[in-house]
Amino acid sequence: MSSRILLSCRESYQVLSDYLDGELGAVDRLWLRGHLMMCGKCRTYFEQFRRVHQLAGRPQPEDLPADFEEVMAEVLRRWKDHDSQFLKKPADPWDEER
Amino acid sequence: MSAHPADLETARRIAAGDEEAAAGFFRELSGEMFGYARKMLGDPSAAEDALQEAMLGALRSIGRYDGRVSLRSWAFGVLRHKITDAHRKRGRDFVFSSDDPEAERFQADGHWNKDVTFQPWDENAELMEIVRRCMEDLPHNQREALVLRALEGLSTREAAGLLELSEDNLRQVLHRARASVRRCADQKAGDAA
Ligand SMILES: [Zn+2]
Repeated sequence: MSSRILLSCRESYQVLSDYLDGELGAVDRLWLRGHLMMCGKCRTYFEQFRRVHQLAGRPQPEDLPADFEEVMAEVLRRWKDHDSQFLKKPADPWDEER
Repeated sequence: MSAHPADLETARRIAAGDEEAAAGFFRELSGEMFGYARKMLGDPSAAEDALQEAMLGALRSIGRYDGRVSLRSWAFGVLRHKITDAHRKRGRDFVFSSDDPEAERFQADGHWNKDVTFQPWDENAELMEIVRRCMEDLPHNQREALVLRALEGLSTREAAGLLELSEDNLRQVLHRARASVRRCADQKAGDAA
């Protein structure tokens, strides 16, 4: 791709994620910016893609259990119970309780 | 030699029954683990169950942690398996997809099709909420990749390891997931305007 002077819209589209994740090389970044300067469709597309990149999967305030302390106490209690029964015999994390 | 000596030390303390270390481990990771479970399962109470099971599984088996990946990645690996179990128990199908949502919208020469247009989104659109709803429609693997990648400080390499994908593969999944969400959001943001 770097050997070409101009990127097509498709090529620009294909590198957007890498660009926003900081995984695009310096030369390719320049080609992309050049295309975006010249192409209105890709510029609007990029702006929307950038917003999605920013927001998708981002942690939210409601991402905490309401009764956090209780959940923790319960887990620690069950862990201790188990521990005293099966000390020094670690379970397989994938297989336990199957 | 372990790449994560501090994590290995924490794991050793927990394996030896150190309650303070176990509580610290729980506090540090449970927020983002719950958020991940909630985004993957939808329902907060199912997410809480998955978090509990994963934390318990992780604490019980922490003696096997070998420090090759961070303790955080390792714990997410345990959670990921619990979420898969929870999906199966609820009879959910796993939808996987690797289609490029925009593949058909380009001409042979690489330009956008003539009838494809993009309008800037309304500044006032509830974009966070729109994106959240659009993510619910994503195939399982794409949603998982997006949520994991959004965790602060988790590198592409770590995320790829967790998802059992090559880095190239993960980058492709992420790109298509974002492109799908953009397209869905474009419709919803357009409807709202
Ligand atoms: Zn273009």
